[in-house]
Amino acid sequence: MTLEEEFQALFSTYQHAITGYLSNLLDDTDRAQELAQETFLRAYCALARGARVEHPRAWLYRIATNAARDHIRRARRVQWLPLLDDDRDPALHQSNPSEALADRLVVRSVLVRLAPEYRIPLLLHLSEGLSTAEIGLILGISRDAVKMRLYRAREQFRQIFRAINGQEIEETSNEV
Amino acid sequence: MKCKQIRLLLAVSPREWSAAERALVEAHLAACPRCAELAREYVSQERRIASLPRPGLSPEREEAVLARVRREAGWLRWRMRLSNALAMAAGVLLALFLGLTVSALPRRALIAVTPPTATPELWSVATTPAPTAAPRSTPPANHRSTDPLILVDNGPRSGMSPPEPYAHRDLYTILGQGDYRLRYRFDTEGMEPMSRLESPPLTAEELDGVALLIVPWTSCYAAGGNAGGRMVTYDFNLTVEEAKVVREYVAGGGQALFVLDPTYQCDFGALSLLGIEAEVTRAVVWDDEGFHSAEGRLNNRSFLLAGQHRFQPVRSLSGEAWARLDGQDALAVEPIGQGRVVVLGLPFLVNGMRLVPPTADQGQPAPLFTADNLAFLVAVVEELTGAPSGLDVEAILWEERKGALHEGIMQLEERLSAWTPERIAWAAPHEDERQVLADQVTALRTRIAEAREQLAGLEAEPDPARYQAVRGILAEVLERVNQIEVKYAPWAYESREARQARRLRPWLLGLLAGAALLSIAAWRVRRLDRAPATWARQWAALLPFVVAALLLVVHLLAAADLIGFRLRVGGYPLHRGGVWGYAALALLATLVFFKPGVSSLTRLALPLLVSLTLMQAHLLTDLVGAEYATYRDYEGEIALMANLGVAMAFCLAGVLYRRPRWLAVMAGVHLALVFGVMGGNSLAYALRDGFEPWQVYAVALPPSPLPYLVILYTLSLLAARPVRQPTYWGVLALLLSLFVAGGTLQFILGFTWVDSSAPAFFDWLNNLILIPLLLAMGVLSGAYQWHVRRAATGRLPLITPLAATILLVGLAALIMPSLLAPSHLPESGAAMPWRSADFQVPLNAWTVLLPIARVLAASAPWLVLLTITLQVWQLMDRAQGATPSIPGRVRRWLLALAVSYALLLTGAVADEILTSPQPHWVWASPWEDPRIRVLGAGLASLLSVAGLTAWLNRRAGPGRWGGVVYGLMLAVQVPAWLLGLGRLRPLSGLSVLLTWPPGISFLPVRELVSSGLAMLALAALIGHLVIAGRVLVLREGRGDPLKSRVPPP
Repeated sequence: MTLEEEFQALFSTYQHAITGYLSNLLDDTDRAQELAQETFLRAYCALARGARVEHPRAWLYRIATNAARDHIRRARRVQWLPLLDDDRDPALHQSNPSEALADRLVVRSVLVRLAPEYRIPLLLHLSEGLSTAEIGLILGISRDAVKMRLYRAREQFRQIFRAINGQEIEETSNEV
Repeated sequence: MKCKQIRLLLAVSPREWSAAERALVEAHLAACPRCAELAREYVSQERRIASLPRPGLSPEREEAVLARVRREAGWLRWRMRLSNALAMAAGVLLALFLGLTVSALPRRALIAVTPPTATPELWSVATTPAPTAAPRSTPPANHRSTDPLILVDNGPRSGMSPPEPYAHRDLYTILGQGDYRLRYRFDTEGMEPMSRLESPPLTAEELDGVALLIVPWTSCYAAGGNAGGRMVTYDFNLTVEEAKVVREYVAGGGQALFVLDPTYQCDFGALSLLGIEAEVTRAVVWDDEGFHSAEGRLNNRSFLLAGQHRFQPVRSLSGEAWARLDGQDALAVEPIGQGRVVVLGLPFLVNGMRLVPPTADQGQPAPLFTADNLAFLVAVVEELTGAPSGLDVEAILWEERKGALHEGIMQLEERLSAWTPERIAWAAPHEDERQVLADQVTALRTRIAEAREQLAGLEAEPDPARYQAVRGILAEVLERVNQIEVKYAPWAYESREARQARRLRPWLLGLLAGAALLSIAAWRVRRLDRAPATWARQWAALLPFVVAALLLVVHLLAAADLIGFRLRVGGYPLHRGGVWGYAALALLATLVFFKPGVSSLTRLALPLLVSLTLMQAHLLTDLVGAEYATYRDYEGEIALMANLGVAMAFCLAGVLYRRPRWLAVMAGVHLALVFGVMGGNSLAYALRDGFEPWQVYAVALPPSPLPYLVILYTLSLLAARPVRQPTYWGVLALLLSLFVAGGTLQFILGFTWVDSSAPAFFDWLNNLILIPLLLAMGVLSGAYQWHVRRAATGRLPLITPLAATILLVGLAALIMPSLLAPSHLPESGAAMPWRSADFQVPLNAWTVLLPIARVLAASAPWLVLLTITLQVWQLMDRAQGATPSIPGRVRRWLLALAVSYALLLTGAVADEILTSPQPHWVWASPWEDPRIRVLGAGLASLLSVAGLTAWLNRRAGPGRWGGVVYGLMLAVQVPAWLLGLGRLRPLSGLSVLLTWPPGISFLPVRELVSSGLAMLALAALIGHLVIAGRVLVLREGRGDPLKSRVPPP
């Protein structure tokens, strides 16, 4: 199998999963597409340099995660924060959103508020179905550390979810 | 099993549970309703997250990826080859760098004890033959052949050091030994300012019968100054009335000889009074040889006022010219009536100093009255008077020769006396080398004693052979002392190695930079996973790291300098172990910097940490027992400032990037460094001299950096977390209160302290450290406010411009000691003559960086100010769009700022005018009364601060806690500024900074630094306003964001 063939096999197998993962991680479909493209280019370059890949799935997720981290790191240049409270998420205030869409928006809103160190394992585990061992491989931490992060991530998710839901209910009742 | 363990299991998807875990969980959930509820929530969570949409790549992007892969496959091989070639080129450059560095390292060889092969000519006495007796012309017919009169400006300067037995004599004192009459103009030395004429004025009666009037130039500007309006020129000590008398005397047939000293600036004011048109057309104040010379014109005839030249044999007055120098007359004769005025230039008339500049005769003393020089004057006087002088010129010169030998012996004795056993032990740490050096010094002392004995033998009678013998001894000792100092005290001279280092440095730097660039290029070419479109952004992101890497390279170069070329930093002799430790640390930091996986902040902090260590190592010289590197108070202040600046950089990074753990580590390292040095120093003293209370105070109390650093790091760790606002402001207020209370306690304790080094309250309060400390607190508080806004959004990623600013802050702080070094460090060498040369050629990497450092230090306050201004601007914009009532308040804040700023400027200008010693018109004015200055400066300060405070209190305050904090800051600042009136001086450079920024490069270093500090203080003030304004806006807006957000775990 030539290098190109090997890469095409990887690409067709994982491109959907990787793009979906990045999309949920960043809450930005366009950026996720860019980064997915970059992920596979990085993967190709690594293969071209003769990299040995034992766990292609974890390896690709690791590249994608690193690309996303780089993106998050670079995307936030000097940003002046709004002086007034910016808790209001515009996505939550669309006119008559369906319940599922609203739920999805709330979930995404909550995910965005999670620190990347918690958001990444949570998505890898619950959305992508990776095991804690695989996540440990991707993040370069132990399995126990992954479990602890997962626990904290879930707790944060739960609290933020409650807070946003409660606020929304309060505002809805005020409007009524 | 406890709930917490079950919850940890619940957090993981059930598919990962083992059978035993599943059983445990199920059993627990059946018994614990809270965990069961949590499990249900987790399931719901999983369902929600799993149901998120997962779009795939669009067809266009799929095609783009595959196309790119096909394209890259072709380029891949070419890129790899190019990358390899670049890497090889970088390697070659690096090898060249290393080769040059190693080849330039000095070869250590012990100084041979054998005597020098050739004896240099140290004193060129009598190298020029004595003047041949010139045929004398017949004096004018109406010449009055009575005794000549010499007007001498002051009391005799004979007797100036060295007092005995070979005192310095000026030419007139020597002439006075002959058949001449000296008439002193002043009974006292007259060098004190505002001295008055004390002798009666020159009259026509006194000049009656005088054959020649010699009017020498005087150096007594102050003495000749407007003493009752009678003196119109300084140069010849003649009043207008006296000038008239002299003119009548000359017109009646008298002769006047005006002798100028071109070693000083002089003009011809008195000659103008005589009706002679005279001017100085060219004056070399201080030429390469260290002499003055001038060209003058007398009634359109030019002549040279000789400086370093020795006169050729004198020809007759009736000839064409008496002496010519460089084709010009060295003497001018102007007839007035029946008499004549002769103008002559001779150097060093005033005090007869024997020393000549170091470039002549290797810095050794030479008799000033060379045969031809003295003989020339005597011949001129004899020619003018038409009578022998009665002086034995040869005898006079012989005395001068002996005096020169005496001074040479004294100077060599002084240089040798500096080589104490302690200094020898420091300079030559190895036993064998130390013994050789000690033996050499002893042998040289013996030779000097021999020379002194020989000199004593010369007292009996002139003995040219013995004289030459003494000179030989001195020449031999001089050469050996020079050799020893070059080898063991290389900072005293620019040694061959140092010169080599200086010449090599640009090449070495170029090679290193080239290697680094090629390496980066090779790395970039090899990396194929970056789209070209993002390169520019990546380079921008890389910039702070490139700067940090370059700084580490500079550290490596500095270490190479210190080790290879035995150079010193800041003029201090560093301990060898410390130097090697510094080099090792620089190397380690460089390796860590390039280690993969190291956090970005750590990378940026590494050069700062290394510099900090270097600074502490500098202070360690005291600790390691170098007695001559005594730790001084002002050095402590410099170190304190630098420590505070670096701490601020770390704190800003820790707070803004929300890295409490990183910050804790940095704080630990920093505090350990400071405590290690301060505590170790105290411990060393305690072990040597026994325990004293000040050894504890010196570590724990200001000006020790420890309390300041503890305050800053505590505050920052609190903010980096972050806590709720009331807690933060409360702790800040508590810290400030404790600080003030601590200072007060010190003041009270100070009454009982006998030790002069104990810091007193006023010193503490006046200390400039308060300004940067308040600035740091203000900026940190601003950072905290900024950070609070992002509290729920997770860790802030590294932002390049912010990182660069932080790096800059730390760098500027660290460079501050280097900036201060030229103005401060010579003072520490003043008490130690052998060290005075330490500070002349600070050849090290800092020298290379100094121009950059000045720019950085000058621009740092501007950057801070710009940042805060932008913040204020943004604040105003946001406020305008949110609540209509806010813009008015913001405008009031800005107006208050402008008013206070204008007042501060007024105060600064008033301070400059009132305290500057430069304008002469101030001298004689009532403003020189210090009480007036104090009153004026105090009033300006009071107006500044009181105006600001009043304006702020007039409107809505900054909120409860903000008001308390700001009030506390003002409470500290007001008395500090009022009591430290002299400290307003730093503001004097402010007008330069604000009106003409390039002018900053012309400011003296201390003024530059103090102006920078003033700027920073101003920025702190604005920072306070921003904090206060923000608190106000938040309270009236949606409230504290922390209250509506989830705190971080």
